[in-house]
Amino acid sequence: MSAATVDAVEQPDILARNIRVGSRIWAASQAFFFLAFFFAFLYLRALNTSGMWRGWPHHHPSPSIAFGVAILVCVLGSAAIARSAALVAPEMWRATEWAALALALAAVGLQCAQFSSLGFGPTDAAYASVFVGWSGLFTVFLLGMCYWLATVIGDVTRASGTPVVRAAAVEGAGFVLLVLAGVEIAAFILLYVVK
Amino acid sequence: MTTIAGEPVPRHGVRIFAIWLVLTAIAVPLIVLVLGPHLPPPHMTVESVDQRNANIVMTALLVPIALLVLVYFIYSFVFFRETTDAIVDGPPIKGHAGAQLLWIVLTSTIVLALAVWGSYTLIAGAHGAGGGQGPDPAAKPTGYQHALPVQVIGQQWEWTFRYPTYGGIETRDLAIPEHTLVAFHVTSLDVTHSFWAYELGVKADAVPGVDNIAYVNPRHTGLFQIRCAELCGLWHGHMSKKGRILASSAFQAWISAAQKKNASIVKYLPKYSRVYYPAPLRRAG
Amino acid sequence: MSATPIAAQPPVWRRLIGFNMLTGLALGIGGWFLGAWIGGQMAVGHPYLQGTDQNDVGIYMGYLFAVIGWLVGLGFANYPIGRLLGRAPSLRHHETGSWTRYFRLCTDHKVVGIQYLFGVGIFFFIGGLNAMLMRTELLRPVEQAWPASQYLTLVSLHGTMMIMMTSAFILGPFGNYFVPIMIGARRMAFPRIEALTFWLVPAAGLILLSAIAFGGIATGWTGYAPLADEGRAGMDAYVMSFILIAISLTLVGLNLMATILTMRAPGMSWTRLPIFVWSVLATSILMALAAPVLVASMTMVLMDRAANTSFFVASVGGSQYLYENLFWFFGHPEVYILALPGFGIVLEILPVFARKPLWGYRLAVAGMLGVTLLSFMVWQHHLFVSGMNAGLRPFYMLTTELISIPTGFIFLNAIGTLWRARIRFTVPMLFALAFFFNFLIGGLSGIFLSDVPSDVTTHGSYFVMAHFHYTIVGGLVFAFFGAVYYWLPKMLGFELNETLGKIHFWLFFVFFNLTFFPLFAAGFLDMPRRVSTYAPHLQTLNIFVSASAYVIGLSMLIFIANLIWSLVFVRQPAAENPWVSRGLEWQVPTPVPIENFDRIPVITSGPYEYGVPNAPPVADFAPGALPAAGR
Repeated sequence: MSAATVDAVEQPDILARNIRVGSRIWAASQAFFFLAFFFAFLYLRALNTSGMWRGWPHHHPSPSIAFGVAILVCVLGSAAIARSAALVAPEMWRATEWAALALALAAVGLQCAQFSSLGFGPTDAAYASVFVGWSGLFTVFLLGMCYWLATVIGDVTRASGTPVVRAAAVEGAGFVLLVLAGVEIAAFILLYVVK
Repeated sequence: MTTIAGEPVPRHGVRIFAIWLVLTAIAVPLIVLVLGPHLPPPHMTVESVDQRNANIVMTALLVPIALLVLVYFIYSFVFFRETTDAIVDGPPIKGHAGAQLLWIVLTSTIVLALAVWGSYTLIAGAHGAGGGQGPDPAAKPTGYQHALPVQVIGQQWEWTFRYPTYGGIETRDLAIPEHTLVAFHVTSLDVTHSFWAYELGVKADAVPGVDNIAYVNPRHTGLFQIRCAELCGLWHGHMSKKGRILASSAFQAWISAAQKKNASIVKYLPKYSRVYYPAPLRRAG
Repeated sequence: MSATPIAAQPPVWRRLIGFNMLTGLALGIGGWFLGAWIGGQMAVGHPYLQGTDQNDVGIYMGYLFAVIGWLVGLGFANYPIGRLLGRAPSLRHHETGSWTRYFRLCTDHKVVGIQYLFGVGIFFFIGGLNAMLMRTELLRPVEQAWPASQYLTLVSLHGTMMIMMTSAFILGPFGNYFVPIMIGARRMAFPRIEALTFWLVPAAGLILLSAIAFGGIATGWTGYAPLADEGRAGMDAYVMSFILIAISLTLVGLNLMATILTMRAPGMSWTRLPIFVWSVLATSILMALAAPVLVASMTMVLMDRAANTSFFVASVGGSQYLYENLFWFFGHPEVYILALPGFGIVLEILPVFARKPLWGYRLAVAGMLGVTLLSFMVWQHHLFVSGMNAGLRPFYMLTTELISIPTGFIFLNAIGTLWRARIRFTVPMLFALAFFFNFLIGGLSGIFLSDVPSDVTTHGSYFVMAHFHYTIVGGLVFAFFGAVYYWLPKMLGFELNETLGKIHFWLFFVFFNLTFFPLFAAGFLDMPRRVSTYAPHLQTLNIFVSASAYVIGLSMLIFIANLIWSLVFVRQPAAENPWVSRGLEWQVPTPVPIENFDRIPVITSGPYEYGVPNAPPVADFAPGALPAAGR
């Protein structure tokens, strides 16, 4: 095997297609992960074992809806910007990826702020368990997305990646963010509105 | 697509079918008449008899299928083997639409018949088949309203039994009257257990916070084995004891004696309830 | 860091402290203490952690940091950091080098395949040893060899380790090694993720084994939740290792699926795809979708244990049914994650030694995809007597029995392929044929379990245990050994001794059946699973089973002896294509070159055209008209 072929290991067009397909599968895996929490919410709520779904008789956990709306807006905004960067304005990706990253980080920060002033804890029965678990793990996944966006920006600012790979990464990140935004919409409706 | 027929070869298909037919003709009567009566579970209740019949029917149906595949494989090992050391290619047959269609139709028919028959015996014939059906049973036997309720409480690592129609007394032995429909209300105080009365043909998970109902109709008196069929911790294997099916009069005598024995302590028991919620248990052994 | 080229030949001590397994182990142990300390600090002052006698936060943080340390030590942090800094480090220097690349992060799919083979193999033998120890306990109907808690730990370790490791039993070694070669690609779609999936396996295995030191596991491999909530610290090891392995499985599925979808050589149409690759594709779909649900359910157990949430605690609004649903929503696809690669292997081996085309190729593909789809709709058949959704039992009975239709296709493929064939009984062929015998019994016994009236007797008894050992050991493990004897000459470059192989096969096959067939009877005679004490009248049966099980153990020792004898002492180089197979993987040179193909080949014909007059060669390896790159 000559050195020339060894160097040609990550051909841009193949890499771009891999990123595209891989991001779809990864999004599906994430969706199935949160499906478990979606199911847990509806199932435990329907069963309402020992009448304790919402908590102790005089203490129903209620997360602040202002935080909820703010997190929702940040996540949706981040996804919309990242997705539209790929679809509408691919030439603006430096700015759009920065904006998407900033909004996603803001959502993470808001979630942390909400956790620090929650008014209830994971021990406060089934609803509180689902709330803490779902929001917490969503934040972990969102942090992962932030890393992905940061690598895209890293490539963009240093211009080390090839354009076709960069475009695929922008597009893939946008798609995964879009699915995460869908999860966040479901989370908002269930955790803040339906309860 | 290449067809199989059309060459002067031995009629393998006919031979295989003939061997299979002979073996099946021998095997099926043997299964029904000789093996059948020994298949589980023993026939102490209406439900266990239904379960045994299900086992007999399925064995008699599945053994011919197994025989067909085995006869074919062994036949092919004998007649389709390469006898020389040379590597010679066989005929390039890639498929046969008719054979595939026949196979799909046959397997689908068997499977659908099994599913329909299983559902029928589950719902209509065996009124729940002795399995736990949850708090609101889907298949109820006739006269279920008058069934004798017996609560089975699983906890690590002991079964206890409460008789709500006899003052909610709690006993460590289980006795039920013969020829009386019994409704077991199985629940648990801590982790998941499974109430398994082998000779009765009853199995119902004991789940904390759930009233799991299983119906049983005892046919004659005798002893039966109670076990736990779901791993519940250290002494899971020791949750076994003997239960009894008693004649009605003997059951009345037994329950009266138990009531008398229980009279002084029954007020300390928690009020009879379909489920119990003790404080959550953390970090036991 | 990783972009710096490796110095020519640094001294040995310098190479030992590079990014390799030793560094990973050292940082992992250091990470454990750091994490445990941090976890201890975190727990201070949190009222919901008081009132318990162990600090699960500390344990989980310990494991988490141990895993991070392990991965950093192996060099997995270099790439993410490099990417953040805008560098795109080359894969190249991970793939060249001496034998040491087997002990460090290597992105060559062939190295990962061999790492998997030995890594998973070691855990397979530890799991098998556990089984031997369990059978020793069951020689007598009372507790004798091990106390009850140790026996339960053995049961749980055996079950968990076998399920975790055998999930990647075929996709790990053979999927990673052969799928890229079989589809005419140079590498996997995501080589770094591929390396990560392997290096999570030893971490998961070691964490699982650490349960022995932390009070053991009392729940069996299913880890039913209220019991898992109250278990000792060993449960934390179970939860953590299952999360790691499920992440690994998700990524294996993602990687293999992406590879098969995007990296096929030109001419490798869907109808020319080897049937093994089809089975890998079907399995990857299950892995990528089902394993995340396991991560989620294990995370809920983790939170129940560490943060006292109440997902599964009935008195605080949780439900054990939630765990059962989530676990089996993963658990039943998992069963087919185990079975499908076996189907692929045997159908791959059969045409080679029957010297005939695979009969009913499209039917086989339809069967695998049908199983994939249906396997998401059957999970409540594990819960027929749980009292959950009793009205839905006929539905799950129907779907469970429906799944035997596509499974039956695989048998029809075998029947058709053997019709008027020229069968050669080589060792891989013997294992493939034994697969059909075992899976026939395993599958038909499953029909009993799918029928609710019959399941009431057999649920939770040794009948279930015999059933799934017939499908997993009789199916998957036999297929695995078939693949080992079939492909090892290509992977390692040496021939295996055929006589020892046949002794291994016959001992394993005969005593496997003698071990597990009597256990159907034990189940019918009311012996529940996972007990160390049983009814005295079953002792003779159990002694017979234990004795047979020991012979299975012996047959495995013969296999190891064969490996050592053939690979260390005889070292007879294997021919490039010893079985005269048409498979693309057999057309490449025998130490497979680092990127498999000089030029991406153009596939010109299907892989099973045995006996077809004027069949073209399987591929054109020097497509001059085409560029070296491309599909």
